[in-house]
Amino acid sequence: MIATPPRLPQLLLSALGARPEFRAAVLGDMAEEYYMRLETQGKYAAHAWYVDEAYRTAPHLILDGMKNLGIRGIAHVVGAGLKAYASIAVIAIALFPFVMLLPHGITQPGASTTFVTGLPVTLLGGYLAARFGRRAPLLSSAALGVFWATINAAALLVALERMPGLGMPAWYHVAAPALILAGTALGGIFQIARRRSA
Amino acid sequence: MDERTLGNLELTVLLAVGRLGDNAYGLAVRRDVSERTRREYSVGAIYTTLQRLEDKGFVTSHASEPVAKRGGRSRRQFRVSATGRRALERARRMTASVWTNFGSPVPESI
Repeated sequence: MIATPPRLPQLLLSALGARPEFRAAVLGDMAEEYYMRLETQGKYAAHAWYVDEAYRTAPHLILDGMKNLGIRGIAHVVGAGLKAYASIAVIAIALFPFVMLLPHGITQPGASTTFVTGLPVTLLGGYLAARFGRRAPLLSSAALGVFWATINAAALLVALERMPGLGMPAWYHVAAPALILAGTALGGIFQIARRRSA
Repeated sequence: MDERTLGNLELTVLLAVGRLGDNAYGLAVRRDVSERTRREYSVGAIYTTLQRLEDKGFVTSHASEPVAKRGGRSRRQFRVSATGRRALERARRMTASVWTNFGSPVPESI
């Protein structure tokens, strides 16, 4: 089987909102160098180079995407994130009574449960944001993630201050925003991959 | 007179485009720049610089025919424009001017 550049980095680089000609030139150069390295250094070295190069090149594609988007485009990205957040809020409100019915509330075992049930919700949020923000799907998912994680962190701080006896475990303060950011990004990637394969 | 200035990397990339002539596309420019500066620039960094040079009017670009080993994508070929040539000339004069009356090698006394 003929080796090809790793698909996930390609997918991510394609979804950062850069202008099509800029993106095609960058991905074309990376593919060309990948095949050169494949011949001279072998598959694993070529793959490793591609992944490392994708990591170094991503900020440039994001910057080009931001320039390309302009004010209206950024409004589109933010709007997509907020629209997805509103959709998720409806689901969260519907789920809230069930979370409160858990035997331990949001204490150690309850937090774990909330964490596990929260993962599919964040994935769905990221998926919806990418779907709403088609011009820059991954940026839209990221916008949702940042907004959501900020709201979540603020809500946790308020809850701690007003209800000191809540018994919320310390790990939850770090893990919850991390879950939101990772989950929304993964949801966005899933939506992009699904659209590509359709 | 066009007074748009060139940064260090812009100057290096613009010189590489001029040197490479008809073969000036991202990958070749990146190799040339990395060899001369002994620094490994990312593909994105080179294209961002090329894009900036194009926005300033120092280079022009066009897409080649699709190339199989690029996954069917075109190469973006660059050429130094007349404005770019004037900018290079200005940069050369400026460099020569700032080194005027300065000893070589750099004097120990400074």
